[in-house]
Amino acid sequence: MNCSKYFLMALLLSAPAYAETILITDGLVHTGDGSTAERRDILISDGTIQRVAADLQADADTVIEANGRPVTPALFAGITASGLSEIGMVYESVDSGLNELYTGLMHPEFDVRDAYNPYASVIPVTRVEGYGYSLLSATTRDRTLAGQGSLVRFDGGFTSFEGDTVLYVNVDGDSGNKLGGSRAAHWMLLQNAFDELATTDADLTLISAAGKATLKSARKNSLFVFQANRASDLLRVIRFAQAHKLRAVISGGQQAWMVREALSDASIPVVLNAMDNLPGNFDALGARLDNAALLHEAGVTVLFTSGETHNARKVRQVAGVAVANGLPHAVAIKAMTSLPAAVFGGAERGLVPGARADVVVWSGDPLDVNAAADQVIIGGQLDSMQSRQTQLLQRYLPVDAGMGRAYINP
Amino acid sequence: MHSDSEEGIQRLNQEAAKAMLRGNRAGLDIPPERAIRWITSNAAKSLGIDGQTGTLRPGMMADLVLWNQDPFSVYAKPLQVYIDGALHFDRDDPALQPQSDFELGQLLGVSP
Repeated sequence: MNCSKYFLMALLLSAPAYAETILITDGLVHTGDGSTAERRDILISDGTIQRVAADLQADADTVIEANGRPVTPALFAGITASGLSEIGMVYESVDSGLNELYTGLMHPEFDVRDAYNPYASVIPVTRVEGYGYSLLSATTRDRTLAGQGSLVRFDGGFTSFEGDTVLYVNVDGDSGNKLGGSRAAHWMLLQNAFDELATTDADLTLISAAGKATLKSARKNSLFVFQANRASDLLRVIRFAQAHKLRAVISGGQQAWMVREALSDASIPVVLNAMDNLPGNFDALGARLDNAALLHEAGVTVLFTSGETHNARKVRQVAGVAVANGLPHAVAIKAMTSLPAAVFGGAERGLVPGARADVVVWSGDPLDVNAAADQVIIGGQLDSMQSRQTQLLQRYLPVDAGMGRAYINP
Repeated sequence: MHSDSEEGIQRLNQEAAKAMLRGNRAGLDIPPERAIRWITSNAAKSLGIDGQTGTLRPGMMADLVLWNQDPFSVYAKPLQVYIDGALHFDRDDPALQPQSDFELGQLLGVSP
């Protein structure tokens, strides 16, 4: 092989083929900005949405006749460990959390993006269900300041990260259990860590010099996602965020409805699971199905997560449950599409000209369990709609296995 | 249809809807009248009580649910639940919405 051939290969590997032009005709287009869906055509080329209008006339390599089927931006899969975990009990395949370190109580410098694997089977499994991106999470193990992540696009790229760096801090009942034996002790340690930032000395039992530098920069440039459910903890988060001028987001928020006015005043978004309706522990007393609706009515920004990585595709059902319990449908669609990108600093994700063409054509209402993604488009390219699970189905569905299932290779 | 999850068992109608959809998309022909058996008569059959409950037929125990719409949807809600002919749950009547001991007297004075 000569050099030019290598160069060509490098080009092919690095640059997705953007030649394809896709025209979607007569879709029930949910722009993703909270507006009502309308029948529109969408023209896609160069990986970008070019035009959205009625009766577009354009030559396209591929025409998808939506015939009134809903079309949305690719959905947000919630806060997940996608690409960080294959099987929970197979320890070498799990990279989402930090533990078994003998130094420092807090490691904000831990960054899960260093372990991200775009070939994890869960990514196509989630993508073919209509999902285009997720908030990559550092999960709490034996450290309450769990580390950093960010938005990640499900486009197969090794470094498809975007938006703000996000720091995860667990301040629920479990945090005191892990550190200091009390929520108050845990807040004391967090307070100490932030007080340290103003000094030149370093308490290395608490936080390393690298961690201190990370936290110092994060305070100005990053988002802090606080995992908490109890109303009193949520109010403590608000006070802490205001004292240290942090941009805060709540994850969990099962009692958020009880302090919704305070959350609204502080402009703190809540990422919740609208199916959380059981008093599973003392922090979750009063969990209710209309949590999302109550928060929205009070002016709080609501986003959704399922709390799962390997069933992250369930989050549209989560949003559907919120709608069944009072949240306006268009608000839920926005929360599932463009809003997470806006909250976490990513690029525009509405179905508007100039936005990245991550688009889904659905068989019916995207939030209902009786509909599914018919065609996913990521970065302006038609997805194969194949995953490990669709291929297992194709292998095991036929009654006649022929020479054996291993010979059925979809 | 089964779930070992405290969330899943509350919404087996939605799980049945998903399974029916996926079966049909895989080329099977599963009408709703078959899928409803997954969460009604087949469960009774597996417990050996299909002679008493699990179907709406004359002579069976009056165990039934009144839905606000097609139950194979995320938006479906049970309006009334009858056990043995007696109304045990009513969405519009707080007196017919049971509460566990664990929740009684918690979050006193708090309401939306």
